[in-house]
Amino acid sequence: MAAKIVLDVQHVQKKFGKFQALTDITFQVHQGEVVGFIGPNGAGKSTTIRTILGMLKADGGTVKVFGEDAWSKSVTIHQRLTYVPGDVYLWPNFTGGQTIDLLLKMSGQKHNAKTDELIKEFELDPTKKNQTYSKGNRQKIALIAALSCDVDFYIFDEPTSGLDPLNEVIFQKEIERLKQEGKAILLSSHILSEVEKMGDTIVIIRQGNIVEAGSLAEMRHLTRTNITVTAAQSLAAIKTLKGVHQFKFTDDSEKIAEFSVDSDALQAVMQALTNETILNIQVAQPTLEDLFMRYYGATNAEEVSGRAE
Amino acid sequence: MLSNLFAQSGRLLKINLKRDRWRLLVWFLVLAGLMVGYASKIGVIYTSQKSVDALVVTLRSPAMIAVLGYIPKSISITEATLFSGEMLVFMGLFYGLASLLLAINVTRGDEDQGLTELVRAKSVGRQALLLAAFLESIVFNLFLFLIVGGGLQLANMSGANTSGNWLSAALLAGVGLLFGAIGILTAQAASEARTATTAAITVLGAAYIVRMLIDVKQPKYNWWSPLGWIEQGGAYYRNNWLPAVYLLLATFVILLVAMAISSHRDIGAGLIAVRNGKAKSWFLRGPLTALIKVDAKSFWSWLFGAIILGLMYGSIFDSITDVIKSNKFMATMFSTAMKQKASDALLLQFMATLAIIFVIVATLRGIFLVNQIDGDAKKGYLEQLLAKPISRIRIFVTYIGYAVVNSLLVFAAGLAGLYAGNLAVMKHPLALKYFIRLFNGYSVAILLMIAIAAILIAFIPRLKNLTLLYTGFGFIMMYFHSIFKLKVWMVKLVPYGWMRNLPIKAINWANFTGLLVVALVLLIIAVIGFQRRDQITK
Repeated sequence: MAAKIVLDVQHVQKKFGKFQALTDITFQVHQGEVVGFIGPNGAGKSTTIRTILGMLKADGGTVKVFGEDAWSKSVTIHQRLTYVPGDVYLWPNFTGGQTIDLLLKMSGQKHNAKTDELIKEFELDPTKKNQTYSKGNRQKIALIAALSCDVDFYIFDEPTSGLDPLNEVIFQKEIERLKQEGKAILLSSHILSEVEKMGDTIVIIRQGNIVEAGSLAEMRHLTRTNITVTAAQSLAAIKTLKGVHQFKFTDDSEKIAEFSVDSDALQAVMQALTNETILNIQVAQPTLEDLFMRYYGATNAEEVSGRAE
Repeated sequence: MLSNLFAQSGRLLKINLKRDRWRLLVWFLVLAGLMVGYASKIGVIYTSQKSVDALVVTLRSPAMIAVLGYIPKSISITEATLFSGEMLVFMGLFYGLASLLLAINVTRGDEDQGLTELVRAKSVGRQALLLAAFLESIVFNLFLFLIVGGGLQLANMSGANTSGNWLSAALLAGVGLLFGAIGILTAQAASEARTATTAAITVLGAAYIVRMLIDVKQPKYNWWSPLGWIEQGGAYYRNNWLPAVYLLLATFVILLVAMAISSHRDIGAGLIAVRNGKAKSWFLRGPLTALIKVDAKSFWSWLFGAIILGLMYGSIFDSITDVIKSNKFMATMFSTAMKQKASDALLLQFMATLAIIFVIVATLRGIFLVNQIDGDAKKGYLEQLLAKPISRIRIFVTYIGYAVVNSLLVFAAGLAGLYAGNLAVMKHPLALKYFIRLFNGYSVAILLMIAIAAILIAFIPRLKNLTLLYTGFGFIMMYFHSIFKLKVWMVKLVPYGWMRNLPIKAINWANFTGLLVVALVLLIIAVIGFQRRDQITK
């Protein structure tokens, strides 16, 4: 990839007292790229982001944004980035409109046509006081302020957790626009479908470690394809093939089967299937959900066996 | 019907007690410890009749009456009556403070955090949370009543009697219950915990100041303040139980009002709806303006509060010099100039003691603002600032600078009120230079206290409330050093001690410079420490 590196995180570690929040975090974000940063609750997503933002000091490793150190050069760096926290807390007694303008001013930006457009699109009433907004509306305020900033790097920590589906669509459209403009975007989420739709690259974090990083297409090679077949006769022969997993019949005559196939065994299994009289076949791409569950499940299994030892 | 209102109050009480156990225990130990500890030591502190006589003279001076309450002239002085005169009103202030803070925390505090919503969705009565908060207040004050009453019995002060011991404990527990109920009431009326706390503390402060004015001028009218009821009880000499009954009655009336308000409002809302505002602000542009706007209500409350406090104390200046006018010997033998000099000397003596109240109020304002750095970080406001091109140093210096300016403003406002009161009531008012001297001298001591608060916030934020304890310690050292017969070096354990005897004496500029240098060094260390640490602490 020839695009410039915007964010470079190398082997970052962070401890809170005795608790090892981040063990080894390494990933990059390039110009014009949307990176989906996913992991279960408590995996270290927000801690990583706060380290990138220079709010927390890494105990080991390096974090460089625009080639500069995230902790010591935070002011210079922050002139070129904007951030929406996961839980948006806003100063009481300010109105929504005042908050948006303040956030823009502090970024060295101004209330612009885009701001007005977004306020309209998100249907936000900017005259209400912050303490009277719901979680979703507070999130909208932070999003409007961030999305109407003209900077190079956008960081969103679970940005749509309080938004309704209509607003989510607006958000996705805006991310697409930023991507077209060649901006870099880091999007943390545990909503997999969202990351799947927008992310070019996926970084999966679990218990303070990066367990997988790469494009969604690359990762699909690592996982299995789901197949549902209806045949004229019994499909029992398929069950024993190499690379076939979670095989089960959904009827008594053993003519309808559901199973998943390892990517490298797909060729052989498809050939075996052509020997059968197939009435119907459905092939589903692995979803991010499957990927996610695989890592999630795997580590859980390790934990169980670890305890047994 | 009743089950719909109060279902599960008992279970909620149990949960709340478990959650609040440390908070309750600390308050309990402080309050009961001071009461019983002092009662058991009073005989050791004042051994000779001479020292008791000297103490009574001190206690009957206006400065002490203003803070500790009034001791009737007709009663015989024993350890027990001394104890009742010295301790009960002052402790009433803290019983009230403890109970109202606890009550607001379990009602409005939980509601602000969304906990109430979670609990109310269960099969819990509409008023159960309120009742549980009140029951917690009852448990707390009942325990205090039993332990303090029993402790006083065991302390066996001379002149004490059983009725007086238990009445002392009952009056204070009654004040605790009353202000617990007032806390519950303001928690229902306000739209968030901070406003509720400010309102309840204002009521407590007003009760205390009204009592002070009455005590200094016309003690027999002290029915007008619930804290005056403590004095009406007259533990050990009058032993009148009626005020204790009145405290309970008042508690129940206030509780009923709170319940009525609570049943008429929505969860998460106050009595007064929040109005919409303008979408634009010309004022807001950065961290300082944001802090000023968020703090605006507190800013004016503290400023007006300080001015009123000053006016109140200033308006009793004439009562202090009454002694000279009513003294026939002085009236006939002293020239006008001499009388003026004697009157000024008395007033200066009074001011020297009194000044520490204004110093402490100003210090508290500053410490609260410094500690707000940690509060705002926890609430998530700082995260928004830190993500912007704003340095950590700038944020820290903004808060500290704002705290220093506010402390000095509050101090100046208090002294200005005092001066204005003095102008209003005195035929020959005290000169302005004394007030300026007080301000100049103590301002560095206040600065040093803020610097200490800044150090804690920069290095060990979870211990930030230690600075408040230290301030309380400072007040006791400064205000009561004559009662406790403290040595000079002990008073110097707090920054204020290096400025004592202002405005009678001139400022000691060596001490002034010393305090200033230490404060500045600490502030610089704090800035460096803050700059180096994680900004979001767990």
